[in-house]
Amino acid sequence: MSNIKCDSVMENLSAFIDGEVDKKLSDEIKKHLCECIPCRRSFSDLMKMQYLIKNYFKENIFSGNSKINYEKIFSSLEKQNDTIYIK
Amino acid sequence: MSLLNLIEEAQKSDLTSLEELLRRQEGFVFSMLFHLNASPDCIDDLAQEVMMRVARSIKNLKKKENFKCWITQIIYNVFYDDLRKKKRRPMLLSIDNFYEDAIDSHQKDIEDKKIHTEEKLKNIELNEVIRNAIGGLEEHFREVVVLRELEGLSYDRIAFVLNTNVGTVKSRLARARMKLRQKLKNYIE
Repeated sequence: MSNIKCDSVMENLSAFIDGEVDKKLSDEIKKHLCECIPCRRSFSDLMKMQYLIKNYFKENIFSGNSKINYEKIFSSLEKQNDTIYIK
Repeated sequence: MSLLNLIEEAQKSDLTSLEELLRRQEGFVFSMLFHLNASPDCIDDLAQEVMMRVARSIKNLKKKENFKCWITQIIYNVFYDDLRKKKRRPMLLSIDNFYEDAIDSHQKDIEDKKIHTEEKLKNIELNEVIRNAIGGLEEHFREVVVLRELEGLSYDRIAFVLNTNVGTVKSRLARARMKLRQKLKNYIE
């Protein structure tokens, strides 16, 4: 039997998925997930959701033509100080 | 040239390297501003300001390996400076417009090639659902999700960018994910 309760598992599940809990807690959560069906279900749902969200961010990276005006940036740098910029 | 080399050369006032460095960050800068819910009307100006601040302060960056975290903080600062200045809230509906062209062209592509597969239509629908779910989160929840999922920052890096502590990041992210799970339940169960 694991020592950790469902409430604590739910509280830490998100950080557990991100690998942001210490080893002791991580081991307890793993043990608990092997024994508890509802928590395992939540874990599975969160993992699926993470997959969808990560995919969404991956697919929605801006790749069009930007309107960044580099001339303006560089002329501002020249005015800002006496440093000589090498082109 | 590697990112670290570009940073090093840019710090030595090499404009070509600086420009290359900035150009490589464009996708990330625009994506981050978009996902933070910047209005499409001002996203170009905000991105310009981010690039300006990066160019002006690149020489002050001491640890080159922290570049991603450092530029993330600049984006975050520019976004919230603008928000405070205009005393406005992010436009929750505005995000629909930003990728409209991309979605339109995607849809046209589907029509042209007559590939009305259920799979592709589902993907477009799912993308919209996720975009609305993230856009509908309260600001403090949305920002941790964007910092974590878009850039993959660790909790302590996120805490540094947001000027808060790791415990707050952890609990906000957990609550944000619970909300997203609820909104996306039809797609994950």
